[in-house]
Amino acid sequence: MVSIAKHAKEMFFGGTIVTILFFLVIGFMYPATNVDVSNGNTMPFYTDGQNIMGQWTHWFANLFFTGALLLLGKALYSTFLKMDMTEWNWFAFGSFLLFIYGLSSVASGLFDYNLFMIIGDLLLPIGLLLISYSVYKIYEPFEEA
Amino acid sequence: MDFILIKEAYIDPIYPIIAFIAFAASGWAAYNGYKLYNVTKGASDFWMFLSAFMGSITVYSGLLFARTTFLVEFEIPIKALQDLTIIAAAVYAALAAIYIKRMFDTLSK
Repeated sequence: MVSIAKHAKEMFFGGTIVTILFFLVIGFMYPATNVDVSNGNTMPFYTDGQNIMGQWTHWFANLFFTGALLLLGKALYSTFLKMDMTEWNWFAFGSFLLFIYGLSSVASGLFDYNLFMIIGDLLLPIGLLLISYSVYKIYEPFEEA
Repeated sequence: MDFILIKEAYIDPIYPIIAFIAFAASGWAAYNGYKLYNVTKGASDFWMFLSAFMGSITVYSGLLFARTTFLVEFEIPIKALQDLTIIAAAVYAALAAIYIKRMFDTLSK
């Protein structure tokens, strides 16, 4: 079996690029509907001829979150996963799902709003459950000692 | 009319359940992360930032839960608060990433 640890860099960059391309493909298949545009949910966030500044803040906050999660994932991959620690694999996968959550929040401002909001809302609890399980598994040996 | 449509979209009972699962999971992770920081007695600062990151996510999903259940009428201000917490979470995640690197640099010396 091929070890993840040996191909950490390829896994990280390949996985990130494939995910972003996948979101772009889904986005072009399901572009913003007329209802999204008239409600001001899609860029440039205009409704009744007025620009909604709060939507811009929301969009950039999500973009910043996605970027920060990418940085955290890079740090995890380049340190813990190289040592083949099983618990950290779950943590990295959880943070990857949170990255997808951020990506779908960003995509909801560009493409079909409802579709990407549903994808994000479903992936957020799964990612957080994985992270909480891995943090518990990392803490367990310390508790026994 | 649009405002009523937004309110109707969130009445679906699956959204509060999903938000509650996220809230509980992130709270559990933040609690364990903070305990780990106490066990290591601050030797690895990155646990502090990681539990702060999880704490921010807990507040974020808690606000999401409140927004989808009993505070539906305060949709706009709670959304603004959620943006604030997600920015805090992003800052803590970036700091945790820097501190992971720093910890391994000091260990390898």
